[in-house]
Amino acid sequence: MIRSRAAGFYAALVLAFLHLPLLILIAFSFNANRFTVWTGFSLQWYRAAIEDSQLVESLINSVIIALAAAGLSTIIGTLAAWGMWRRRAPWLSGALYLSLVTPEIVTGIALLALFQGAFRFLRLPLGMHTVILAHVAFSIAYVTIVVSGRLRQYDRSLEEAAMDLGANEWRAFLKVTLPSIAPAVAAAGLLALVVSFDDYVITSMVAGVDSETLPMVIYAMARRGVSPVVNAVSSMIVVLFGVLILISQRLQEK
Amino acid sequence: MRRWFLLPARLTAWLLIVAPMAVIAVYSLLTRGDYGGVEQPWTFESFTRLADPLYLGILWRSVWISAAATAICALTGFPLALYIARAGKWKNLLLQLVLLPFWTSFLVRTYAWLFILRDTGLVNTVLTGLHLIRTPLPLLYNDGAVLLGLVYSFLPFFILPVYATLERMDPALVEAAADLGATPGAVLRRIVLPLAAPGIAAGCVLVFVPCLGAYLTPDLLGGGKTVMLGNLVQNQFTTARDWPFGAAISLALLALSTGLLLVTRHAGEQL
Amino acid sequence: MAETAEIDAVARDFDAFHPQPELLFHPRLARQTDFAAGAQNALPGDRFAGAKRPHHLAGSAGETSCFGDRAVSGHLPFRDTADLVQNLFEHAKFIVASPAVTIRVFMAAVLQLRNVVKEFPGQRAVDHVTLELERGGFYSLVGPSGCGKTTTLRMIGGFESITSGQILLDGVDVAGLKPWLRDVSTVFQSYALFPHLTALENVEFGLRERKDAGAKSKATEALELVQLSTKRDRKPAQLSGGERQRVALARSLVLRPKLLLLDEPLAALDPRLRGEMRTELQAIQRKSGVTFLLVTHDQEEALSLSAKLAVMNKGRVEQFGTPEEVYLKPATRFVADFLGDMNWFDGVGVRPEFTRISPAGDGLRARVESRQFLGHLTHLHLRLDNGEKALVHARPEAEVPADAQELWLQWNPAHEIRVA
Repeated sequence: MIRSRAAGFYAALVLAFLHLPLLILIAFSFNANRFTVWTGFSLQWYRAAIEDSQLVESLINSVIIALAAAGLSTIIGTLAAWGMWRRRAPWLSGALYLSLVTPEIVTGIALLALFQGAFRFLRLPLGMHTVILAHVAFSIAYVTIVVSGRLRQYDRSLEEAAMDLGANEWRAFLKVTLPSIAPAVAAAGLLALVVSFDDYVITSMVAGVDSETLPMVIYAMARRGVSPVVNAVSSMIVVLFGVLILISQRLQEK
Repeated sequence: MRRWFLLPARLTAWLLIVAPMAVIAVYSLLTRGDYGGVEQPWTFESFTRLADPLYLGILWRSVWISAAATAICALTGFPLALYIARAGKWKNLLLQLVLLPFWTSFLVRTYAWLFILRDTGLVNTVLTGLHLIRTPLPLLYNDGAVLLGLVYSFLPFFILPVYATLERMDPALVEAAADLGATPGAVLRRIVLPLAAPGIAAGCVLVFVPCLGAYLTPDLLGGGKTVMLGNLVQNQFTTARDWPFGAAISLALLALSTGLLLVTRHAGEQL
Repeated sequence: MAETAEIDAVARDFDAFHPQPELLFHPRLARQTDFAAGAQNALPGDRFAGAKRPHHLAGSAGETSCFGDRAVSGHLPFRDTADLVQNLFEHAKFIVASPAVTIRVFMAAVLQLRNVVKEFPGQRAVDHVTLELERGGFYSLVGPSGCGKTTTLRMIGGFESITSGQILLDGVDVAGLKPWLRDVSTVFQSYALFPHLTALENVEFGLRERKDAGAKSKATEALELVQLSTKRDRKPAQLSGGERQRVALARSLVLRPKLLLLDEPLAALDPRLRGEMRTELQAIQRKSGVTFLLVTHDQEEALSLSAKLAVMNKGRVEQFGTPEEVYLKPATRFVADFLGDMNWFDGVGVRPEFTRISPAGDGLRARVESRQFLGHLTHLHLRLDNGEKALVHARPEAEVPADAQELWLQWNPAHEIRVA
């Protein structure tokens, strides 16, 4: 019964449901017409996207923020995963769990409240730095999970052997454990990159005037009205993320 | 040596995860300032306001939309999870196909439905072109669209844990049941479903909780009409400038989400 | 205890005579507090920077002292005259200063466990273990799983803390020391070879941590010792189980530790390979001269390899003796039953290989119930008149009786075993 054609057909249907919207979006990014009537193949919307200065600026912002946030959270998260693998740290695990469980909008407003309150003393405005901090806040949990997952399969006696041979705990981590888990760390970093690049909700709450990110611009464009430029940008994002995640998954299989 | 390597993470966690929530907790007990922000006196007023029927209505709507989305995900997702678990060498490929859209941008995926369902969107254009309708159908900016968006976004969250549970199930169990005379329907009912129950429960929670706190989907697909808890929170912190109340709602939302997760975890451990 | 106090007193005298601490390269003479305090920031090599590490003192593996149990009373642990001369030359300074100290130092046991206890919540895994290992010997800790042998090993290696007791390495209490500061090396059950490094790089690892300039050549030499020079550039994944074990051995031995700990080294190997590896282990131990302490649940392994073995049960050492002693004169019932097969008749034990069956005469009347032909001998399972069972090892040339035929079980009273 389960392997019958009906089951296969049903599976195909659900998968189609999952994929069609994106495929349609991408398909219509090549439409010569700005409406949903297909008139011909054209790259004009891609050209328009690349030439849109606001889009490009926001892209640069997004890249800078993503790289900075991913870099920081990978380091902090990897150390956290290693630390928690060697000894129990219930408060830290709890905090990371909290960060995963909290709805994005709540994280966003909480960080906004913190920055507003804190910065009233310091008189610091919202800007790139606040966005980076916010992104670090929510991506650490992801990094920790990926690296923890790898460490769970890691042979503890390798670190003991290194210590037995004369390396202290930090050197044992650096020279033996880290090289072994490096693919997972890289995968975690890529994940942090993607998660940061894609974020709208939290970023919109804590960004300043000069720190618009790509998702923020896309959101504004989507609200304004129909524009295939959004399709074009979206398609490019889909491809970019697809590639990054594919690499990340390959790395995790190592 | 042992202590310092957890220091960066602990510091970050305290400053950027715990402290913000503490600030929110504090704000929820204060009063709104005239130009936004908070000021004294300390009061529980924000929490008592939650009992207002207007806000209870929003809570109720969030709950039933989330529940509906969870139910739809469960009904549509379970057969697919089962299919993949039995698919032998195609397992990995199918799983990748299920997960692939999940890993593209959330914003883009939500926008895709916007593109399809608008008045000038694909569905309406096609239907008008086929002369099936004369005026565009208002497919967007209602509860149904939000529901669709939520199901679309979170379906993989349901499929994955159920698949994981089913995959671990010994196929010999099904064969043994058949050998003992059970029909395929009975096998499903009496063997597969009970064994998949933990996965199904996990999947439901993994869908329900994010739906409860959803912001972007109701915002883009629901217009101003479908207000869920997430939108209410955002609204209080921007347009309404009532931070204490927004904080109170946030805490309520967080309490609900965490409570649900802890209950399921505890129940899972009991099994 | 008295011995340590005495040596401490001599050491103090020696300190007064030679005030430069850097000459005190032999840890036995270093003051305990110095070693512990300085150790936090030092690597083993640094502590003795400038002074040569003593050529490792060797003993003959498998040989027991002909003067009795205590090494101090006479057994000089040198391989041969050349070795002795070399050692004497290196230690000339000390010999001139204090011959009594030197002789004492060379003779001391390399490892002493004194009333070591390890408690986990809910159980005492190691219960007042006291052992003394002489330099250069091959020793084993053997017992069933859960007897505490692995925990004891890990405490010696520094991977478990001690609840109470002392672990003295060359007279110095190492209980508080971290693994990387102890002059003990462990070969782990899984070998724990670093997967991202080649065999050579694995062997070099400890030397590089000590910033040893001659790491590469020493490592190459070590690989030659275990006959793996041809595979030096292979990664662990490309090596067989036996080869990996040899790399692990080389990696530890190249650091010239005072003591090498081996955690079930042959358990992961193919049974056919085990016999070969046993011989190789013996050879490597002889060649390197390092004191080996093996942990195993395989009593055959322990009996065949060790100069002395400790049989452990439920955290206690039930007997510590030579293979002949523990096998032929077991101290407790557990030791008797654990090593080989036993027959018990009314509190008196006889090993099956010492029993005979005879068609007539005295002894215990019995009938053959079943038999198992094992090639080099036959297991005969007998049922005695009183209902008990017995096991006899019948040699191939012996006449095997038919089933149910009445016969008599006999043995030489000299082979009887009586335990407490």
